[in-house]
Amino acid sequence: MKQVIYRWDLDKTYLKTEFETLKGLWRAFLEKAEEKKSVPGAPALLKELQKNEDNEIYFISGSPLQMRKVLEKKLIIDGIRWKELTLKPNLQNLLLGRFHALREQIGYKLPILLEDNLKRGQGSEEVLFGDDAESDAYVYSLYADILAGMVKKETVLKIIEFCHVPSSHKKKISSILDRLKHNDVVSKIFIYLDKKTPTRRFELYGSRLVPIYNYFQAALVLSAENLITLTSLTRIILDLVFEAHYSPVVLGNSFQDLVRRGVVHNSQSIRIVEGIKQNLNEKIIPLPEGFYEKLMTHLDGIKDIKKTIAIDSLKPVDYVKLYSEEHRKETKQKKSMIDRILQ
Amino acid sequence: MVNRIAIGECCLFKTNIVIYKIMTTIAFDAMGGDFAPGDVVRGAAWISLDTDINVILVGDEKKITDTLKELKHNPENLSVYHTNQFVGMDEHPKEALEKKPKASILVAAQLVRDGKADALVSAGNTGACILTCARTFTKIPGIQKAALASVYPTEIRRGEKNDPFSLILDVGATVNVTAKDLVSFAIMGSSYASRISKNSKPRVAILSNGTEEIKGSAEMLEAYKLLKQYSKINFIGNIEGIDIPKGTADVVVCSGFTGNIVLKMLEGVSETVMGLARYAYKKKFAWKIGLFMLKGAIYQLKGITDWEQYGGAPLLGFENLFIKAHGRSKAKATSNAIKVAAKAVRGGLIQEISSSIKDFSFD
Repeated sequence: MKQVIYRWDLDKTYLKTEFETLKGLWRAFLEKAEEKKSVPGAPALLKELQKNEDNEIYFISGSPLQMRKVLEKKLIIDGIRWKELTLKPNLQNLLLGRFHALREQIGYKLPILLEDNLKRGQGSEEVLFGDDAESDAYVYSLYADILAGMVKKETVLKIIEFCHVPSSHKKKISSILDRLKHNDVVSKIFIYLDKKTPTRRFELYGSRLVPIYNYFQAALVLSAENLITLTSLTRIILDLVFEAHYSPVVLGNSFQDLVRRGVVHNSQSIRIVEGIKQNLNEKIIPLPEGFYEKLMTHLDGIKDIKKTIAIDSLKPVDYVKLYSEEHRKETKQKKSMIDRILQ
Repeated sequence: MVNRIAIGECCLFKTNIVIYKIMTTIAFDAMGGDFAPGDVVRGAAWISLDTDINVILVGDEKKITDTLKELKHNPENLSVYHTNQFVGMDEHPKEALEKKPKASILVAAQLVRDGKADALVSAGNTGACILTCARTFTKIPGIQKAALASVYPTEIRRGEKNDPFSLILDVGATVNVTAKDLVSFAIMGSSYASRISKNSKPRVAILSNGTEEIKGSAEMLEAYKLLKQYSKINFIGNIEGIDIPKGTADVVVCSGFTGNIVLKMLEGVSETVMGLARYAYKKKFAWKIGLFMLKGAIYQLKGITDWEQYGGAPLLGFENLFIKAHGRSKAKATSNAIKVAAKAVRGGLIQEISSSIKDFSFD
């Protein structure tokens, strides 16, 4: 299999984190590695991705640098190997009076992604994972379109300007943009719907961005794209069944949702169902009585979903216009978070 | 070795290695109702977010998926079963069902009959719903005719949960009834009140034109005699219309003809009272102030009489459960109807009715 770069956000994408309340925020900061909980299926999926030795896994998180030790320990406990874990210098931002930077995600993540791509200098395929809590969909899509040469340098600098990035950083970004080799390398962007944001809101980013409700759905898409094998997909299913108590109904419904949304096509789904059937039928791991039969009933029903709804072809995104909307949303979220904390 | 362990309202299968939830599945006619599919799908979306109920939305896949895309929902608890036919609210039930063999209500009922879902919910054309159930479901042995039951808020509260509603049946499924039908309605109503309202000894009465034993039609008199002899039902005799809102009985038994008139009249009275309040609010400043001071009580009254909270009317008498939501149902009423259906399934309502009917000897 070809080399793929997987870039993951941590909080709410890989880790179950609640930072909407002061209690949750405090807990996330004080929690030991052993106490931290992963989103069901996320560790299993990462373990399957790292089975290809050529693949590289990068984490980029808005958590403060002070949490490095505990986060690294958590990843080790989960059996994850990573190439780089980037954390946010929140204390430094605070001391330098960059209060805006404390909550700014676009101005934080975009330069890191671009710089890393430039450093690597290769045109390897990239798959990105984020969530719907902040601006991951926006940052990842913008990053992907910059790499693809679809966004002008002036536009990027305008956005960076909006983000109140220090002038030294701006110069650096400008220089990165000048040296960047354009390559349409980002093949998929997965947005884990922790807040169950309606999927319609992500359609403007095109079919490259896939909102997912669980990691079974991510695994299905990766399997459809031949980025993981059907055996890997089966192992992820078993992990979800054993560790997160996923039922045949939940698995079947999740699969159907992807087909109905036009993310996985009928021909792909038939191949995947056959693969799962074959792998599970080997019965290496004993499943509860009736589980296999029930799962097959639900999966067989997938082929009856005939009216696949195709997502509109990728239209250029107006990132400047969208920024103000994203920014408004972010400000509103932060405001409501502060309100909740003060309540 | 597989063990079945009941935890709360759901069941888990446990072996040495795996546990998973067995979900209650509701087949939902997504195309039925004045506000379908948009508002009724929204109700199902709410359900998917905060319950363990699995809902199969039966109807136009594209329309349903397009609606879901706009809503917060959890697709892990939702699926769509496609059919492009449906019965309109104004259509003649019999003709429509004959012309549309794949109508959403029919397909949803078939899913329940075939064991793919545990209960059926629809806000669609009432006639078509009842006819579908009659054609698709099997009657519980011993029951001749089905009854549509409805709840009505009363002065008195009852049961473990301090339930403010009494049950009236039949409200329209069976126009002409025999004494045996009335008895079976009483048994079914009593089972429903004990399982759903958690009322261990519901008071059952026949709605008549007087409380005396000798009042009523011939079939009512005979039903009175039969119920009086049956000790497993807490039969309190006849009641009059005035007793319904008082809550003298927890289960009110009548023919579908009478029940439908009573129900519509009660709904009309509620609407008129609210209309009068609105009129008074506009008419005089002093009345406006008076109503303003009473607003807490008015809101409470509105809350109790709000049909959207009832969760729909069960059609009783079949081996499968059907909950009829109001035709004007929006998201709130729809989600409550789904919740009631799931509660009835988990509470073993059909099994309770079957065993109660078996106990009663009509001879």
